[in-house]
Amino acid sequence: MLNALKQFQNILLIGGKSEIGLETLRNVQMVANAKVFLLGRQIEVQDISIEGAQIFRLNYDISDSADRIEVISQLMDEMDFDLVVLAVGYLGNQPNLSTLRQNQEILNLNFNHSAEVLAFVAHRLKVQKHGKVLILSSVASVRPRKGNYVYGAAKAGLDFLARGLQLDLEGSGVEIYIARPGFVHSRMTNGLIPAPLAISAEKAGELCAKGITKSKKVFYVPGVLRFVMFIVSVLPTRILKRLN
Amino acid sequence: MGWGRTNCSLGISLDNFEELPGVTQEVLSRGAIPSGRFRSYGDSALNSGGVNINSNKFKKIDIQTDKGIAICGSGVTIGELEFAAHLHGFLPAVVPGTGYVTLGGAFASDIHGKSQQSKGNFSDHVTQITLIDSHGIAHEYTSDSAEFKATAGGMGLTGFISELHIILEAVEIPVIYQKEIRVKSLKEMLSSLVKVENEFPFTVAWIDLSGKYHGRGVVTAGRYASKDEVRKKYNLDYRFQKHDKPITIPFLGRVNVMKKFMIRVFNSLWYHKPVKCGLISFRKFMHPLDSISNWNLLYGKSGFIQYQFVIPSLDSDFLEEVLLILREFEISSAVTVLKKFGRGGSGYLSFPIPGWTLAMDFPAGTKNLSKAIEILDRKLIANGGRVYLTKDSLLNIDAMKNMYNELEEWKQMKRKMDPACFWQSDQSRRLELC
Repeated sequence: MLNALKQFQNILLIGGKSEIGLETLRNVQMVANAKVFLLGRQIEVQDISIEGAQIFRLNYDISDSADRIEVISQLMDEMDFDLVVLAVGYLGNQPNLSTLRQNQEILNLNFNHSAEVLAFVAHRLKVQKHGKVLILSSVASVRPRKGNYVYGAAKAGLDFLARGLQLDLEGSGVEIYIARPGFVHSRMTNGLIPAPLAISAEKAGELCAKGITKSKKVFYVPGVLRFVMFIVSVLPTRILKRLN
Repeated sequence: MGWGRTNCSLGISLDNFEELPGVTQEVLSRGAIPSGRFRSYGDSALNSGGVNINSNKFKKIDIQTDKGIAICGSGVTIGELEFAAHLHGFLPAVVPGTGYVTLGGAFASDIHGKSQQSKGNFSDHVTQITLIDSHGIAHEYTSDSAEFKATAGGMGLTGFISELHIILEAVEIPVIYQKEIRVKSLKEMLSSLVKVENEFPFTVAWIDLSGKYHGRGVVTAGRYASKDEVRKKYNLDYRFQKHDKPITIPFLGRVNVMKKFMIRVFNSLWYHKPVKCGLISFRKFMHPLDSISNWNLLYGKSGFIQYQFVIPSLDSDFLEEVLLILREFEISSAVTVLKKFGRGGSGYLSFPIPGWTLAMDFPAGTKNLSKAIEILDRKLIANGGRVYLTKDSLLNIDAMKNMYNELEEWKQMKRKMDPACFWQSDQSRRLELC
């Protein structure tokens, strides 16, 4: 339950190894000894710490249909959550169009399973009538690019769902924030050529933590990408192809 | 919304138990909290996603002059009881700084007033309560029962108080003889407060914490005026109005007026105003801030935090430390009240312990406030002090456990009286009281 200074007490990070997710939590305002629950694959063996917080690690695989909702449901039965960060992401290695079925993992992790979890979390927060959700979308969701449009499609789907949920949750006390990071140096982008305006995971976390205190529910990380992506979204295709 | 306007929750408000079946299961799963006039500063009367049962309909007042007691519904306010009682030559022995608190809330917070050092707390003058449990069944508890002790100061978490039997004090004329003394330092203030209590049962001090001052302020002391004294200014059959006509300051609520500069100006003006020695009506003396109906809006949309603590010592050391911390962090308190407590509270979670209590108001956006309060909490715990739950909106679970040494006994009674944890509030969730 938030205190008078709006400091978080109970926090849930789904995708507990996400560098952006963890850095966000390291920058948010939380009470002393706040409870932070990290859900992720083989997370119990990870050495993760957040200063001033009690960390609880739960092994969790969003692909596991039996546990996907159940684990979260049990946690949310026990206590109110002030902040839920959905940071499950998988960039993958998009193969050819003819092998679209191999993109299943990209679509499932970034959209299908994440969407199911997001809808569930939003509903449960609606019952408690307070709470913030932060989802990590991407600039890739704004316009298709050759080479990562399957990832972009999945993120666009999640992004769209989150914006729809925002409309549904108007007046409910629950707020959904959508962060659209650009290129962030992390495990996910290891080995890739950095795009312009690339930032570190630490910086991304700092900006996400700031973003969830503002009134704008959709924000870019870094903020200047808002203008860049606006231009990208309106550019004629033949010009975009040349830039690609 | 709490009186400090920093905590706001969405829930369903009901006027009585009969409306509960109409509420959905989802909402009922969030439990219920009794509420009155929402004068708690934080989240103790809020229940996000759940039910709020208001005591507005419990308005019975039965003054039994032969026994000197009042049997009242929990929705009656302190002001309403004062009015009804004084018509018969009685007044409640303990009243808080505002007359807008309900009697149910006064008991659930085990409020204290200017008379604490001589007359104790509100629950000390209650002989019996009627408490409605989560099944809608009414139980009567007398002051010697553990259930009574769990409910006094229990923040509404043991049940819905519907009726109280309150012992009144015989008072011929509701007029106070007031004496104000301007003091230049904290030491002078503390010794003045100790000195005046021999002659004056009502004592309080306002202290200037708006700058680099070292505890200058004004000590206010009061006693019931004698007939001879009253004759000079009032009629002997003076009675106060049923309803006060407070001022409402327009255009308040959006912007914080209480910036550092304004706080300094206000405190300076208050310190330098002429000291008053003379007669004043009971109401004006006991409830000075009630003359402005919307003073809490001075702090704008972000609201303010009131931090009230008690320290079990009559030395000045701890208080000097607090003043130092505030000066170092450059934090100003808009209105600061200092009082001496003479007695402990009877409830497991009653706030008072003999010693000094200090209540401070900080605009919610004050820089370094979180850090300063963290330090204050730590020092309080180290010195055996505690924070008042009715003013609280910042305490955390560990601090709560360390400050209230009868918390476990209270939790046992809570489990006994409310095993399904139906009675819950935002505060109880924040402090894990259920």
